[in-house]
Amino acid sequence: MIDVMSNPRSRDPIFGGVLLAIAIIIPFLDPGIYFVKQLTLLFIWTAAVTQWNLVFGVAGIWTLAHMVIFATGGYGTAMIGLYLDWSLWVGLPIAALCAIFISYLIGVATVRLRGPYVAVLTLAIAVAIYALILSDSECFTYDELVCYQFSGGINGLHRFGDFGFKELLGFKQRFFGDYYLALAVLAFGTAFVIAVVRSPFGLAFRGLRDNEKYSRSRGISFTKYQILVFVMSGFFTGLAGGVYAGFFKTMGSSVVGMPLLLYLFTMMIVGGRGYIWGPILGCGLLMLVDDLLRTQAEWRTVVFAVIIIVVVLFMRFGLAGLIEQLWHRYVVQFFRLRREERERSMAAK
Amino acid sequence: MMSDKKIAPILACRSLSKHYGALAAVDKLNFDVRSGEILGISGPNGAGKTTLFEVISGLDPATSGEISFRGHNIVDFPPEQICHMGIARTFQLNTAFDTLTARENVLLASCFGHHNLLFPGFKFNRSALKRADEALDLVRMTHKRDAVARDLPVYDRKRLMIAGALACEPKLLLLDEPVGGLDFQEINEVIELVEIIRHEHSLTIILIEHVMRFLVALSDRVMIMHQGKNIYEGLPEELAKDPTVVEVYLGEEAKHLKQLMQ
Repeated sequence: MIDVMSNPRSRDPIFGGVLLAIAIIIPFLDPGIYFVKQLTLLFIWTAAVTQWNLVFGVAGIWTLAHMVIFATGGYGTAMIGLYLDWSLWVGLPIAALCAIFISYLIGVATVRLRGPYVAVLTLAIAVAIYALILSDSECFTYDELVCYQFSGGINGLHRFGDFGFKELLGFKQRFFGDYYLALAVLAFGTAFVIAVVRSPFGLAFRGLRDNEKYSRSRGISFTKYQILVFVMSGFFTGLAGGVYAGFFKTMGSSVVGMPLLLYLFTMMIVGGRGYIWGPILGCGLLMLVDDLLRTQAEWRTVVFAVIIIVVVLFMRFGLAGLIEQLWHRYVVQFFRLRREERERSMAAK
Repeated sequence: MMSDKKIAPILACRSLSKHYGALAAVDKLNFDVRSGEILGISGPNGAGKTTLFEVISGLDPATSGEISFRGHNIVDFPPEQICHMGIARTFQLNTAFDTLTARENVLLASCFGHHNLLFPGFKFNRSALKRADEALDLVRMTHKRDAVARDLPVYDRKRLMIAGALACEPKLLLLDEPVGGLDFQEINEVIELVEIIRHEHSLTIILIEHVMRFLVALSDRVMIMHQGKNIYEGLPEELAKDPTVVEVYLGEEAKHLKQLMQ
């Protein structure tokens, strides 16, 4: 038992399996549409942050342009639905592939920079995309004298279709479809991140994060692996964006806006930068707090600020780091002592 | 070991220079290293010894000159390529991948440092795992393989660095002050380790060290650097007799060194 408890290799799949099982069962417990929709949004954000954490936390690249990749998936899916009139199920993987390409470009752009300068450049990219969308005022199509911009502009994109869950599952259970789709993107995305972190790729990323010079002297090409981690994180981020578009049936510039960026960034830091379960813990906690405060909106900012301050000062490694520490100190110790006691009593006989 | 002058040296530096603005940290340096030998480099602080290693390993490219390694001019090669060609080094400041375990530290080297890995894959290559475990075993740190590098004491981190270098199966090993800050017993263990490495792995070694006991015990030949130049190149026994070396570097230590050699 102690080997299972103390070894992340066996612990992670069990933990993940339990969470997944709970998530699958929840809709059948009839918690209400609001709760199901909130959890769907939680899954979408967590899926995006999980991939962001791979680049930011595991590989140590301080990118703030992650939502541009998310937006590529979302806008791509929406535009394919709107302009080509294709099903979102076809648009979704295509948009995800576009997201990989955009992710690649961002990786190439940051390759000569280090540390905070990457943050500066990527933030500039995010702000530029946001401004680009908002400033789009040229009329791309007309519909009874109403002007529609190519990117949706200030109003965003609408009426591009959805995943068809109303027809597939019936009106009453239509939101289950988005719920399980978002859950699938999160589950596969997390499994992917776990596989990457455990693999030689993960070793290279962590090595470059810890000490770039030492890594290079041991044969790891910085350029190759920096670009690679961006590319690898792009697919599931794009998928998450596309699921967002199909779920909300609207796509707006707010996904690359600052408020959302800060919100998700806080989730990543609070959860624990670089830890596999960090995003789930961080997103879960912050959405819970957000929901508890929905009737007292004025307290929201204050509480979030306090949470960030507490975490940065006292829990540098985030919730995941703290739990890891406590786990080792109490749970693993408990099982170790129990085994030692058992061995002693067997030796005495 | 008889050196045949007709055999090309494994490493040859010609007119090698590294300038930082007006300062010549390495100044038109010429020297050869014969295959299989241990060359010891010493000299006062600021002589350019570590800079020389930075230049050879590609982490800080030379300003001018040539470095010939096994027939190739590696002066403009990136560090990862130089590693794949067969040069591995350790660092003066005990360097490690702090968040990785001891085993992961060495596994990274054996996986990526051995040859150019085009597609790493999702599983570790069996031979990479074996190389890593053997290197860890050679430096006698197998029992600490799951310890996180950040928590390891200095002596362990130094051994870990050496294990990492060995896991790359290099032809040329550069050791930068491997025993700096170690106690008497630990220095003896490292001397023993280097001798085992030399005999079992047929490598060439260049080592930088201030601890004379270590330098003299292991080196076949010694080179003394001063202000980026090579002021002495020869046998360790003759070191204490060279007046320039005594004046520039050894000073009072010359008497002690003479005693050591006897």
